[in-house]
Amino acid sequence: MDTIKIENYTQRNTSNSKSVLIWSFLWGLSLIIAGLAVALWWPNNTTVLVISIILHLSFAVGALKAHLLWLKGLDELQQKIQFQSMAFTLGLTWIALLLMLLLNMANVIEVSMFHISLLTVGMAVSSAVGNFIGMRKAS
Amino acid sequence: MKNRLKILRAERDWTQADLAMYLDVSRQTINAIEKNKYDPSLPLAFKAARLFALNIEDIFQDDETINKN
Repeated sequence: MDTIKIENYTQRNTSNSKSVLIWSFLWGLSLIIAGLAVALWWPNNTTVLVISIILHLSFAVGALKAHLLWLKGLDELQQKIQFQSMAFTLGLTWIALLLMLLLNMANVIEVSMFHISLLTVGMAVSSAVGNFIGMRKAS
Repeated sequence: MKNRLKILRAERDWTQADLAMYLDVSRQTINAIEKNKYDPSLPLAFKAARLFALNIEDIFQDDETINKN
C-alpha cells in the first residue's frame, strides 16, 4: 500500500519523551550544582558560580528544546490535550501568584523562597491534573 | 460529527493500533475519533480518505447532514 507511512508514531514519541526525561534530569542536576555553588563558594569564588550558572542555563535551553520537539512530535489530539493542560496551569499559576502577592501586601504571609517553590510544585500538579482531565475526556 | 472509521477498519481486519500507525497518530486518537469524542483536523481526514480510497464525506458526516437525511 503506497499511502502507508513506515515511520512509527509510538517509537518517535518514546524517543522524544526519553530526550525530555534526560534533558530535564540534567537541568535539575545542574540546578542543584548551581545551588551548591551559591551556598559554598559565593562570594569567594565567582568563577565556579559563573561556570555552574552557564552550565545550568545550557541545560535549561536543552530541556526547553527537547520539550518543544516532544510537543511538535505529538499528534493533534495529544497536542490539544497538552495545550489545554498548559492553559489550565497558566491560569491557576496567575491566580495563585496574585493571591500570594495580595496576602503578602496585607501582611498575612511573607512571600519567601518556600512559597515560590510551592508555586512550582502547584504548577506540576495542575499540569498533571489538566492532562488527566484531557485524557479522560478523550477516552 | 459521525464517522465510519470503525466499520472501515473492521472491514480490513485492522486493529486501532494498525490504523494509528497508517495515519501516524496515537491509538488513543483513533479511539477518540471512533467514539465521536474528537473531530479530526481536515489534513487528518484527508489522510484517512486517501488511506481508504474514499471521499471525506464517505467517512465523515456532520450531524446536520445526518438529520436532514
